[in-house]
Amino acid sequence: MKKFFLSVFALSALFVTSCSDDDDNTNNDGDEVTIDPSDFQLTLNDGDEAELDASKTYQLTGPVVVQSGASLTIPAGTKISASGGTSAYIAVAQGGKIFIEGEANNPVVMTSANETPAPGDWGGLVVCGKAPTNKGGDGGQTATAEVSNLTYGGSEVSDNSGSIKYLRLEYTGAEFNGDKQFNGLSLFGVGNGTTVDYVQSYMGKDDGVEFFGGTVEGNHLVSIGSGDDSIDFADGWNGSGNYWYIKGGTKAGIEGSNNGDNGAATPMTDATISNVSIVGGGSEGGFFIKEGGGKWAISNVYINGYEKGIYIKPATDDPEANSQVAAGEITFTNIQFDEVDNVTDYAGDTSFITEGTSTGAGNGADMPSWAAGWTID
Amino acid sequence: MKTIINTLICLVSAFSFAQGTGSIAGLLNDKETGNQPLPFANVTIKGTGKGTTTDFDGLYQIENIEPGSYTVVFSFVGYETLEVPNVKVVANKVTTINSGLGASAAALDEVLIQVVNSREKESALLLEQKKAVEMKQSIGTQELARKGVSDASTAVTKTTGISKEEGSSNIYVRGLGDRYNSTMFNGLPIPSNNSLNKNIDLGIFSTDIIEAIDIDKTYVTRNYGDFGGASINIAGKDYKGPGFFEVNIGTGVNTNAIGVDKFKQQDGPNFTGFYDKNPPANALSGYNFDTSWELKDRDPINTSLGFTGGKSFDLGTESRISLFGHASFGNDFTYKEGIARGGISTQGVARKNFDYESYDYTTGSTFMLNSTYKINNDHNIKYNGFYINSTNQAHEEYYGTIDVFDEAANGGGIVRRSTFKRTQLLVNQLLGEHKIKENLSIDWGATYNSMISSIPDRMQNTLRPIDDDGDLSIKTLSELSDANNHRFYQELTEDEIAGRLSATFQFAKKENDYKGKITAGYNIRTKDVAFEATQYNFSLKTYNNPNDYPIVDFNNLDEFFTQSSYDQSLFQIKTLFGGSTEKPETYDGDLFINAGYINLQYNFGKLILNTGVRVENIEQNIEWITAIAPVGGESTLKETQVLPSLSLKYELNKKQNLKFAASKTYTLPQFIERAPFQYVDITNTYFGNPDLYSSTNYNADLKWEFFPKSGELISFGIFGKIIENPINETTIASATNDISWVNSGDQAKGVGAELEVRKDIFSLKSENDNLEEKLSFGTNISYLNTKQDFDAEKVRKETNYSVQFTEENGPLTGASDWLVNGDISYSKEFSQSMDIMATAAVNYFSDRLYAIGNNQRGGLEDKGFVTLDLIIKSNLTKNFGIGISAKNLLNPTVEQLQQTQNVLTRSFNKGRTLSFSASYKF
Repeated sequence: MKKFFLSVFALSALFVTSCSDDDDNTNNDGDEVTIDPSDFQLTLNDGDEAELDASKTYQLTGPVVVQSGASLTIPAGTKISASGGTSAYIAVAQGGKIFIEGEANNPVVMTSANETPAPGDWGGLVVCGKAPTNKGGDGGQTATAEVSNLTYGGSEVSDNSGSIKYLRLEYTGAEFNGDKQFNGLSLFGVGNGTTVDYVQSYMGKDDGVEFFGGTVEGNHLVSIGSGDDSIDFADGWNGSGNYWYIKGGTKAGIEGSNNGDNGAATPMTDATISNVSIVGGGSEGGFFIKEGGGKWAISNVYINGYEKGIYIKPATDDPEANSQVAAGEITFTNIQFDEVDNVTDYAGDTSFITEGTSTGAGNGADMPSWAAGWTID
Repeated sequence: MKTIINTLICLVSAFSFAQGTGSIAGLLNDKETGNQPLPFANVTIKGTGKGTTTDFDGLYQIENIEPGSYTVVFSFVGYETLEVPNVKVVANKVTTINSGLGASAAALDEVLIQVVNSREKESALLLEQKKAVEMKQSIGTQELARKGVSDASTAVTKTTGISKEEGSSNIYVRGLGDRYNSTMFNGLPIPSNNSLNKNIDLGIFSTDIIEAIDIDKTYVTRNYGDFGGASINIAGKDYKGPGFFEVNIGTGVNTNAIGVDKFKQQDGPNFTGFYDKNPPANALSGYNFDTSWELKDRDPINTSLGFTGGKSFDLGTESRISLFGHASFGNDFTYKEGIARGGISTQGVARKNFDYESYDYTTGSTFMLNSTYKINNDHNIKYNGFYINSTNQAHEEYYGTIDVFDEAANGGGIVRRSTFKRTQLLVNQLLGEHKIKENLSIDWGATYNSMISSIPDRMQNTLRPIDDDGDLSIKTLSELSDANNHRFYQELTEDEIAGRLSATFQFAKKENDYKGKITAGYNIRTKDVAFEATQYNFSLKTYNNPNDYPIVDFNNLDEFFTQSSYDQSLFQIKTLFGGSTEKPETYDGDLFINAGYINLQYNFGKLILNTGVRVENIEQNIEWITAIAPVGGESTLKETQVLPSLSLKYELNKKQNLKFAASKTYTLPQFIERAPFQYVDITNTYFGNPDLYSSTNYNADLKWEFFPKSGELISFGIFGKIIENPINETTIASATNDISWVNSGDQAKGVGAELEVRKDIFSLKSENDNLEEKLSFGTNISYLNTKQDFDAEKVRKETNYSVQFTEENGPLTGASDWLVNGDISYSKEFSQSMDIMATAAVNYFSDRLYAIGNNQRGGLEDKGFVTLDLIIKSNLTKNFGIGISAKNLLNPTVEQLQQTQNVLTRSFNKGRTLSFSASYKF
């Protein structure tokens, strides 16, 4: 398939002005981007600006890639219905922008087109920015994302990939192999100029939301029924999260790591997270401090229904994470364990955990009020 | 150096005579090499049964000839037969023959009977080496048999400076791996059977069809310029004699394989290796696979059976048709057990940590038909066709921690994988040699090759303990990734058409010889590559309560994988494209090379100059659609390369040469290495780098050769190489540690020295019947020092990728500092038809880098080890021979470790292999 194929579907076509330059393998056929809602797949190039039509349901049949200099706007109420497994995903390259403009009572929904939808039916949403990750080194080097050969990472802390608000992602997580699997929302080196607020992953096969380095804040995140970890941060994420509600994940509620190859890699993961509810179960605990851990300041947490509250491997398996805990770089304050068998399997001094009473994301084990209207349970 | 006349010029001195008889003596020279002495040529006196061969200096003498008039016949393989009639023998005198006599044309069977193809002989190959201007190295049938070598891959490792990577088909020449070498058969290219490799696995070529393997470690213009280490040419066997038929049988055991309770093999593939399997119809809509997950047993007894025959038919005085045919089957069982670790972190923690065992059953079936039509003394045409069916059925089981942070984190995981890989290679070659005029000859060849490499029905299962903190022996199938339990079907086909044509014109005639030679040639090569693969993943049902997972019996997986389970939605079947998309991942590539060259050779007396230039035009295209790149894409590489070469040979004296060679060559990236699509192998994900470009190589060699006498050699050489912008495979910074290829630094350098000695310790010939008893030894030792820069900044500048090399520089991967081969052979002839030969051969390589370290983790290093083989062969009668071999007698532990962290990543031993063989010649 040499050129991107554009079919003309007159009635529902959406025309957008474009000044795309000559790039191979893209829609350089003219100045207009033609989108066919019944066969939604395209590459937007530098200068392309496309906006979807909220009155349509878009059948996502292949990749939608927003390249550098292009932007894609998805208005409130737009439904994207995906089929085609790993082929179906939406990705934003470095320098590209996505504007998902859902509203509290009218979210943007990306879901499976299957009659009986199941986790892993399609890919997910991938955003690649220019903020630092420790994957390529400690000097703002880049790395390559799981899909599309897209590059991420760099040194632009306040990089802006657009804005994602009131988005619900359902049945994501199609996979290529054990290592390569889409998350609901994958944030690769996304900078803190980007807004990520009010996003739900529902019944994703892999993680609900994952931060791979970057500096972006993730607020009002909901992850329900995740097939792996509910929310995951790794590879030098240096950001904060406020109001996370997690329920029914298979593995860890929140998994945080520094770097899987080198637990001591820099820039080190530095996470500040508050107001979190984690409702069980899951085999890897409410929190899993993994692969060097990094620096964590976690506060106001409610955990319910786990065998392990805060899980960490022994020092023989994860020396760096254990020494981070010992050094006081990882702390939990005002954390309430409800129906948790074992608060932590950390072998040393457990003073890094300060128990208390907490409403977590707002409503303890129950869905918080800020999640009403745009999420499903 | 093919079709030539041998003339006789000189004479010799004093001889003693039996009463009343005379002698014929003389010196036989080879016109082709400027009247160098021609050793090992047959000299017979027609009608008497008397004869001899010329000695190392081309001298011969036949004594005790009754006075009379005779016809003397000189013959040498590849050369025309010369008859000198009316030679008068006078009692008590030595007759010398005048070269002025013209050659007569009659072909003589008596002479031909004695001729074994000389390129099979060690001594003849050494002679060829002595004569060559190039620094050529060859290993022939005789030496391979002596050292008990049965395939081409092992064969090349017996020569100087070549080693083989453990557990793969990769050959390293002077530390330069697959991409730096090229493989040809009769001077024509051969496709590869591995999508990631440039060269075919030499292991599929049985020595039964090999006359000799020629290894050009210096570049010559007739070879393709994509060269850095060696051009390896397999010269196929042929036959020119009156006829023979031979049957070989053999059997043997590997001590590891024979010791297992059950030699585990997947269901499906058969004993012969002639097996294929398509995915079932409706593979996604129900459980329709009809091969069982249950493992079969097989008796691990190696067997082999072969038939070889040849016959020639005379058609008139100069014309002859010769046929050679071969059919054989052989198989081999090996078993390994040991440890396997992966994903070792900077802190030295192994993410994967297994005990493992691996069962390998290989087969090889070879059919060859070869016919030569000698039209007359000036023209001949040859057809060479063969078909090889080579299979490897591997079953591996890994027990332990699948991921210390995730799956079977406390142990108790099992990964098992059964892979049947089959390679079929069909080669059809037509070759011709024509002497147009005394000083003009034409040489051509064309080949059509078809290669299919398939992996039908690869099976993989992953099991984990249901409760990582409970009883680890209670297991369920791993649901973490769909790919953890799957079946897989792959087919790679390569079709290749290639041709060569060259004309050689000789000039500056002086006496009977030409001092100068110009060769102009043209090569064309086209290749189409098509790859398709489909993986069917078993996507297992997940449960909210960890205790709800079904208990699965590792030894009875058929119980779980049923239509009934499918109907209950305990699993779904998905391809890598996900869901119900049933289409293969594909890529298609083509390669087109046009090349012309011109080469001049001139003999200044002691000094021979050979210089030339080759211009190559290369175009390489690839297009793909894979699950990770579902939109597809294409990539093209076009290059023109101008490649000069220079060789000099200086003859210090009759027995010593000094040779020098220098050249510029290049190394082209492989198809898949430049294609920016992600390709999921069993354990790794690869994607190409569209910014990857060719390396430029500068090569220089200097070598001294000393040939004390027939069959003996002492040589010493030094060489240096500079590779600009070397290509390396490396893990790139990526979310999932993907592997790609980059021009990893500005320069790689290699310097080395090579010593080769072949010497008789004693060689005794009995007075009366000329029976020989001999003890000889041979050794080759190479020392190599390589260094390459690892420049992450360069990679970031030139590509979109980021790498983090642990070291700033290091050796070339695959380069051992020291490579040593040694052998000692004893042979004794008891009668003309009964003999025995025993050889002990050792091989050693020192530690070598297997993979470059990244992310502050050390590189992976293969630890060096010694192997010792013992081979005994005996001809008991004229027709019947037997052989016994014992290989890998020391059975060393094969180890690989991650440097810096100093963690063992692999450890096993291969066991000893004991074999017996017998042959009968009709």
